[in-house]
Amino acid sequence: MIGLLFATLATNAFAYYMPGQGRWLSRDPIGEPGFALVSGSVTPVTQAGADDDAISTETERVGGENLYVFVGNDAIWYIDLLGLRWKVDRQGGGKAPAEPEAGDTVADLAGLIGLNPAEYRNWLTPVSGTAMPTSANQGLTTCDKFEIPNTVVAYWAGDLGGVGRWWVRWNSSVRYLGRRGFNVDEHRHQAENNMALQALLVSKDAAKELHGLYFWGHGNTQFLASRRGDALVEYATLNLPYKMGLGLVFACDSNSGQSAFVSGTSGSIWRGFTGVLVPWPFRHYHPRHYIQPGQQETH
Amino acid sequence: MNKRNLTVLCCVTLFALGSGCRTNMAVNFRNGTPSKVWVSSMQSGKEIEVAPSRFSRLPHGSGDILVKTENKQQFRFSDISAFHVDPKYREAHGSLFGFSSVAFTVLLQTNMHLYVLMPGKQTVDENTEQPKGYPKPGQKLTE
Repeated sequence: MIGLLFATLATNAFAYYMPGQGRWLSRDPIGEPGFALVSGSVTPVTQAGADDDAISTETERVGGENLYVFVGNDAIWYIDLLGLRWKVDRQGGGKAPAEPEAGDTVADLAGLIGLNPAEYRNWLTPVSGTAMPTSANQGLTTCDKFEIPNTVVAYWAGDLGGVGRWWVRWNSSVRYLGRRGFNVDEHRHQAENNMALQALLVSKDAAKELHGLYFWGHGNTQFLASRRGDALVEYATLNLPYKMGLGLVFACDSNSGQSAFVSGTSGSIWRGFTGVLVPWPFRHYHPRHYIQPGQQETH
Repeated sequence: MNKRNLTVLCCVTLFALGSGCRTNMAVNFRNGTPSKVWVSSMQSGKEIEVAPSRFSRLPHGSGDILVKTENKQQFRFSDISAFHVDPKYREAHGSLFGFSSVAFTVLLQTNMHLYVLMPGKQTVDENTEQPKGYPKPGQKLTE
């Protein structure tokens, strides 16, 4: 009986995996309190005396929303040889710290956060004496420390002022993105500020801080625009050093700009529109419908 | 007005004034040559016919414009866009019912150069400052 049980389980250094059910038999140890005592590689994430809810929330934040899930439920694209993976800690700063487990690669990280591994030199920031990896597939050690982009630009170019923002739940959406750990850089369009958004995106991207864009306004197949006639972004000339991982662009024909904004690689999130966007009531415009806790290593 | 009608009216008004509508772009093309020309947008694919001393509106966002003359000559004017000129040259209209539009007016002279006109003007003179990149010479295309 015991032999039959083990015959149906696959194992690695830290956990048993049930291929038939596509999940771990035990919780992912990367998020467990006290795991550092076993592996010597992970900092405990809870304090003594914390209540059970706090432990559960905090540990699941590290290992993902569900500690039993195998590589983010995406086994086609990811492997998890040791039962561990990158630790990303989004805490609202312009950049977020990211620490690999032994053997992790930048390509693994790119898949988790939706950025393009081919552009890693443009978005990855080595810190604490860590060298830039020579390739996205180079195995890393637990001594390597990095920072990743963590800023979401929220740009309002819609109409009706506070009524318009209430209609599309703008304030709630901005708060939601902040609670997920992003640094939300909120702007409201000023009249005759031509190409303001494009300049903002390029500067944030060059600083390796830009992770995403949340936009409400007007557009056509070539531009994002304001109603009063200001161009905000021209898709053809928006040449970002690296493409973003998150794009929620609520404007007419914004799908025309998808490839200019987001990486389109595994893990990236895009919501755009083809044709005329009419903000009907009771529709799902809130970011919670597109990026949920745990996705892209958020809280 | 009862509560139901008021609710419907509010919804319709907010829908009409909604915040995510299309921005239509156009070029008002004035023909300053003595013969008829046909103007087409490489971006929208639309073609218009413009008689001498008249103007017509060409749907065009950005990119190249082709001008064909009566004697079968073709000229290409590159990178024509309302958003690439100073806002004082543009005419922007915000419609209460969703769509907004942005346009600017150009004048084709007999030297096959495109000049930008200030809104409401029909001619250029020495005092009319041209935006950066204008007047724009037409590149003659061979058959």
